Amino acid sequence: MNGVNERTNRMGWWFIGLSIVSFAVFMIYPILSSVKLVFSSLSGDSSTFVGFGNFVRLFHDTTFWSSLGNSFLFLVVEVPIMLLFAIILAVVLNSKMLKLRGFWRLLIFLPCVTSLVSYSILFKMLFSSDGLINKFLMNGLHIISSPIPWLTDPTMAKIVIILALLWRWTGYNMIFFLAGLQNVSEEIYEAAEIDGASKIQQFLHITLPALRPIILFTAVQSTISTLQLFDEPMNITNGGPANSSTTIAMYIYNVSFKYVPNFGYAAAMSYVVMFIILILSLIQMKVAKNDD
Amino acid sequence: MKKFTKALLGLGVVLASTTLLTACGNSNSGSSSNGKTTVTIWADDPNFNVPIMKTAVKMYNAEHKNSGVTFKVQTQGDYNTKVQTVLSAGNKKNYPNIIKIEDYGSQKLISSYQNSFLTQNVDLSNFSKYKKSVVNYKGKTYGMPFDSGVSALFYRKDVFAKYGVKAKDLNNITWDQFMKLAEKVHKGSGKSILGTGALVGEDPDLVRQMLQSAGSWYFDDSGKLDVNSTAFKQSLKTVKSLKDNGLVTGYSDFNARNKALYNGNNLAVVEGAWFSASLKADKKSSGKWGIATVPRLTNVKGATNSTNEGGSSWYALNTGNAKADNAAKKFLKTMFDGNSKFYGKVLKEQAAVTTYKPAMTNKEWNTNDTFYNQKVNQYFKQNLNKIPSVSYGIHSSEVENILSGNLNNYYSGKTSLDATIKKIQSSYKSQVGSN
Repeated sequence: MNGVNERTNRMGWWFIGLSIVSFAVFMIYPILSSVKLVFSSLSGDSSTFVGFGNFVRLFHDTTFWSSLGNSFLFLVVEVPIMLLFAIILAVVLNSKMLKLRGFWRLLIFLPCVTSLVSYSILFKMLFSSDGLINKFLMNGLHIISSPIPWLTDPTMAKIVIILALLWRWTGYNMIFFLAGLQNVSEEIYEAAEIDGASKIQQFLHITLPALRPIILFTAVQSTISTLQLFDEPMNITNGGPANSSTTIAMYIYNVSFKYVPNFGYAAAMSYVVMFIILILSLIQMKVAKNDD
Repeated sequence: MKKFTKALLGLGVVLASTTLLTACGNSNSGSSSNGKTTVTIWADDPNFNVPIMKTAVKMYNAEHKNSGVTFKVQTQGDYNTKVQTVLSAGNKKNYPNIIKIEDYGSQKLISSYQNSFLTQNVDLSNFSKYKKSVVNYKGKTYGMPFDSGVSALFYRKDVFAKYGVKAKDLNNITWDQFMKLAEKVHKGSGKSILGTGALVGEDPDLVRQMLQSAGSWYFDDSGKLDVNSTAFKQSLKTVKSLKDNGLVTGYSDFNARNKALYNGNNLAVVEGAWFSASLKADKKSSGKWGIATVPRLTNVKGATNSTNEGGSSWYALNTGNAKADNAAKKFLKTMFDGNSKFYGKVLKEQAAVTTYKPAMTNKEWNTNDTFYNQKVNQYFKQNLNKIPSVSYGIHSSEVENILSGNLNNYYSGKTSLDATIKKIQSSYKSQVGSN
């Protein structure tokens, strides 16, 4: 090796060294010490070893199951709709016939740069009983006579959160699909067109298969982030009404910081969520592979 | 040139690591460099406990010029969570010296972090008796009692009078009697009477106040869940009949509720003394509001017309720095358990309804409040010492969360009272892991 390479090498170690050190201090150490937490009941100053006690307790905890159920509901309803929208938008925005493509792309991606808390608060204001949406529906369009209880009805509250998530994250996923579409050669479409394939057939048999790795990536990523959903329900509905929008992440937060603090129990729940995510991701990867 | 880049990089690394280190060692309190001691005080309300603490510091410093102690009053947002987080981190060096804790949460924090709290020398006979069970834990006193949330029925006396309900009709009555009067006003005006800052089934405030007015709480004295009591059942029944008769409206949050109070869509509210400041924020309604005693529960032994919503006390934390810890304790003792002049000043300036009995002779307690055209402080003073004493226990947050998931079903008639209570008991058991 010549001198320059050696120097670059050393330089490289300097660069990653800092991030490795901070990764060890802020990620590896906390993860390892959380293993100890899981098997103890840590209430305030006192810590007692309980073995699998936390998991037994969790099994009987109805609030845990209902909040896990809520998280899954958001996952099952929101993620497919969002990914479908994202693909359609990507295809439309990739079309050469569309004018001002950059402008539209920017517009749809823009929600992603807003902070989670501030857009949640805006949604809360928009959908409150005397908010803009109700006022528009009542006084502008005259289709309803009394305000829709967006935030105070259990089903409506879930719908508002799903709408918020769609607004915030569709553009984000669209960018991945748009990037994926750049790798699909124009010639394939031209060939298909000559063979007489319709636009829909082209979409189903060329675009979707070409985007499969990206669909897998966005699906896994959306699954992870939806199961960790916290900011939106916390700020829009505060988990209400009647706990109907409390997610598992919110419940973990409550057990750690709102109720009598029990970090052992909270850590046990976090591990359960982690394993669920792991299993779901494995399934998704398996399904995507089998299709090949 | 390359040497220069290298030097620059090295410098960057050194700088980055030093900022990391200083961030770790950043101490919040009790730093005694140059022989000076700093006492940090945390409070959350920039219109209430923050200026009150600043007044206390100012008066204390005027009397102890050479104490060598600097007091810092800091306003913290997201207060309850922040306090619980700093305590659970357990790094004593980062503790503030004095914190405010809401009375409902004090037992939870003291029992969880007993070693982090300092015992205080407080003469509890100087304070309203209901505060004792708030600041004491296992026979030791940890808190300095401060303000009270002594409750009142705030009502629009102009509208009530229009439909023939006078002030004297509203004092010392039962909820049943109140409902009859309220119905007249409701039918005549078409407006809602009581308003809650959450959906009725999720609002713990009304139930809390009813429970305490009868000397009852979610828990018995030993800390066991006690939702099968006559007081609890009667409270739920009362709220249900208020709701069935259209006399109570739940709003999505406190701002929406207060807006309805300001624009006259809602005519009354049962809240703690501190709520007065929110009403007064709407200057154009001066002269329209009155206060009366809170109705008492019907057919419940020990039911009174006095109760409480909120209120807080001051706690000194064990920061490991003896000098600062002692200075904090001495400051609290001097100002809050011995200085009537201070209490008179904050009553006048912040309308602080406090629980220190020797200060009850201050003339501010007996003056006429022009907003209500009533001697409001006198009312608070008289009711303060009648508030039944209850033990708030440590699991109130958990219970209130369970209530919000179950009471709606009872109020809307989906489940019976007994079934609702059974459901609350089983949810509590599964969540807390004990009875």
